[in-house]
Amino acid sequence: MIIIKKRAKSAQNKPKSVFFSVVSSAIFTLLVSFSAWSSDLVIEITQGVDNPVPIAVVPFHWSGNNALNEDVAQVIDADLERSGQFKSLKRSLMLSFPYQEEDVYFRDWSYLATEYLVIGQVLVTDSGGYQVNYQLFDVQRQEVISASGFTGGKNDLRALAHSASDAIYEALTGLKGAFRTRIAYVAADKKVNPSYYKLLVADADGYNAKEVLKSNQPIMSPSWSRDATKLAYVSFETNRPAIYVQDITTGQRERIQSFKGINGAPAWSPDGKKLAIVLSKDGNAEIYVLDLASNKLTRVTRHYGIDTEPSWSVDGKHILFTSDRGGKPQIYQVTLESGWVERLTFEGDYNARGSLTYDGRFLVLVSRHDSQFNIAVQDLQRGTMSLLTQTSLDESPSVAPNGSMVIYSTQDGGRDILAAVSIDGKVKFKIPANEGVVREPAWSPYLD
Amino acid sequence: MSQTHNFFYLSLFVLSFSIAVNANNSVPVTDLANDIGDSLGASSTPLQPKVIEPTPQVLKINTAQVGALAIANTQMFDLVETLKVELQQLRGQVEQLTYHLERLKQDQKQRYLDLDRRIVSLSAASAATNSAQATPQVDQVVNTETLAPIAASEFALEPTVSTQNIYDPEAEKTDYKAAFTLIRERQYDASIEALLTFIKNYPQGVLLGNAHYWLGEVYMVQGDASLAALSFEYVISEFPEHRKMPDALYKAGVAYQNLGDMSKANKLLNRVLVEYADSSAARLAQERVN
Amino acid sequence: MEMGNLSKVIASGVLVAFLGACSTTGETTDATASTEAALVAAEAQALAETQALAEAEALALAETQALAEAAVQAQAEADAAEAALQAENEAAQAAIIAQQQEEAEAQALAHIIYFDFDQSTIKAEFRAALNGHAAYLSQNPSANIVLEGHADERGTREYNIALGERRGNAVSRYLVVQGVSVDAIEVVSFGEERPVNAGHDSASWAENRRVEIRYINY
Repeated sequence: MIIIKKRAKSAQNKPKSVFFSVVSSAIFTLLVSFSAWSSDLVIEITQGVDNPVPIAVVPFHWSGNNALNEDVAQVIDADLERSGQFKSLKRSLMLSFPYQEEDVYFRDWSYLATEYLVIGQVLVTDSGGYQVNYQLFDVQRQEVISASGFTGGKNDLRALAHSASDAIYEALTGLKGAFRTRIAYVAADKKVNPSYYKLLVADADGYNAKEVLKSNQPIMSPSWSRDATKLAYVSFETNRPAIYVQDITTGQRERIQSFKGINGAPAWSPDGKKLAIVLSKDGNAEIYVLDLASNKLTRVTRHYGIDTEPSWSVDGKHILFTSDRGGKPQIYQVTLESGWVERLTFEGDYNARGSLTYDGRFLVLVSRHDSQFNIAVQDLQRGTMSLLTQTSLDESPSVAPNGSMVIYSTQDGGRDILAAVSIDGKVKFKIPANEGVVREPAWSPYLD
Repeated sequence: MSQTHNFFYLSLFVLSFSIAVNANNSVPVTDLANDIGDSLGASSTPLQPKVIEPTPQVLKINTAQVGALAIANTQMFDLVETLKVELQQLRGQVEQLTYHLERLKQDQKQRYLDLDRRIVSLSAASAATNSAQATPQVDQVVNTETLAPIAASEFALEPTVSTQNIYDPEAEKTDYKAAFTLIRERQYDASIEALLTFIKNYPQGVLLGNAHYWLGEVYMVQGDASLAALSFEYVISEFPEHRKMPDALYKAGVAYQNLGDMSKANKLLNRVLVEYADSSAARLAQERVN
Repeated sequence: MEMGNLSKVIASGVLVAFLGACSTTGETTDATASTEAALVAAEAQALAETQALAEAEALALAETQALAEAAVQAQAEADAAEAALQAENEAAQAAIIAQQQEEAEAQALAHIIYFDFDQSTIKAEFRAALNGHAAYLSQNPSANIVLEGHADERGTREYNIALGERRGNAVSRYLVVQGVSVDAIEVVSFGEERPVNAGHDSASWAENRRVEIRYINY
């Protein structure tokens, strides 16, 4: 069941027509409860920006006989609210339900203090799939800002809605949207018998969770390939750690070269051809690069300390990693060609699990301050580090492909849950699981 | 006889327990492993043997068996481990020091450049304002001030201002002085016109607040309290950090008193007393407030 | 009994003599005189025979009695021997149980090594136990162990895997320095994935920072 709970209550004006509000709220609850069956994750928005932009998304028009199994407008609403920057108008307060430009009375919307209006419709394509068209209006200026349409198959209605959200978000913020993306995560429950670990992939809004692997031994460190079709992860199913690469669409998987000792922390290179991994076959945890086509293994670090948690630079020429060669875990960067190692973090006595945003401007990491482990972001241009979270046992941060949000793992009431925070720290939401615990999230790249 | 029975059951129990433990450890694995590992041609290890949990036959703590060689080796081992940790810490310190040194060097360079810029602009400013040193006085005005220092110091704080082509601080100062001269010569109508033109021409100027303030003063002199109040209110709302804030507040209070709006007047006068208690305007406000 | 038999013999002798005397009523006195002598001789012979018989009987009786006594004694001895054997057995069992208990205690002490936060130094209190393991392993070349390294939940997961391995390696190197063959030891790390205590306070964390020694072959 997807529930959007907001802390900040919106101050709405009184509705004009009782009839409309009754009918629309009935439809709304029906549609919400119908679509509630498929999701395993619940999103709770705990913090938004100070002045979210008021927007109204009118239920999309559908002229077919049978009801659609997804409410497109509600998906768009939820997406925009989840970004923390928008405040949606409740359907019960809407005065009219246009779906074409000529039916829009801007007075209806400016009366309700709405700044932007989204209308649209769902059509059937010749091949039996769907087409979702939308129009985005500036209520004050009474003109269209953006309009487009997206087509897909019979089961792609949610994905089409997410595409519309991306376009609307980009038109209003200038930032590319990341609503049509996915998250991979590990779920576990030790209280049931038999206890299990699962690797799951869901849409970025928590819907359509699908099981990729189930095991009764630990699963760790999922990592997406750049084309978002494969996951690399670590599994202990043979009672020893090994790295597997699994194609999500076909379900086929293979175990890459495994050695005695640690096999861990796989990370795909930007060109998708190599995996950076951690092996301890030469005496202690070191970073290696495995070329997937030729199966050639190249050693990258040489130090008796721990070197782990590799991640790639944007141009693929450097690898960032965590090392305790300076006494405590800090983040370092090695240039692959020369082997030159330089340290990146100088604040705090424990900095680990560093990864760059896709534009290379920010370094997102786990940092310890006052015995608390928080998600922090370091501005690489200015060299300043700021904390994004205030909870105490945060780990496994993963950045959205548009660099706007970071999803991570934390604890709430002793249970592992997922949470997300925007890169400026202003927007926060929690994603607990219904049963057991969820952890180790990985945000997929753009699904193209 | 019962003892052997006991033994038998005990061993049976142990055996079945270990079997049960092993059953838990075996996992259904799809589509594995050795074949692919071998075909990739590298040294991949086969599946690990299942761990049995038997009881060792003899396992007593016997320190007498630790030979002299082992003791020496242990000492060496401890020394090596300690050295490793020490080395890592030293390395960490060196990394920190190098980083801070680099930062310091950069900071120094920045500060030097900044100071240099300031000196250059200061010398340019003082050369320009050498001529105008007279302090303007108006009878009804509370406190006196000098033009030149304000201009020079504000000028120095914003070195970038001088490099803009559209805004000419020299011209601004000249015009301001001209308008001020008119006030001093009691040519109030002309001064109002000059001030209004000034405000129009230099909307980002550093002397804008001053201009509005003096405009208010002139209006007060001419008896137009409402316009005066407007001008002073403008200063209060738009230039809250301005040097003339306490005066503007006081004068606005006076204007409202003249207009008969006592509540507004008192509010403003009280603001002077509370926020600028040390100013000379506060003394005057104290006398006026009721 | 003997007296009873004797009196019977006498009585039968008297009877025989009386019958002999009565049956021969028409005989002459000479004939009676010789038959009387024969009779006396017969009596004496019978008496002697019965006496011998009685003696033999008595002897046989004594013999059986002696035999019975011997049997009982032998029985007693056998019982005593069995009891002694049983006692010995029990003592042996008790000894074995005591030894096992001692071993069990010894093994429980030696089994898990605990570490301080973010450290892999082997503390002095565990060295004696490790020396014991080392002694056993070097004396029994067929023995194999697995060292399982663990860490508490703080910090990032992959780093904790490496930390668990660092701890396992420290124990392994210590054992090797004591003379254990490298091939007898395998180090595996589970990081924070297999805690023994799921709590979130220092006490729980302290229990999770450990290396466990498991014997595969002994």
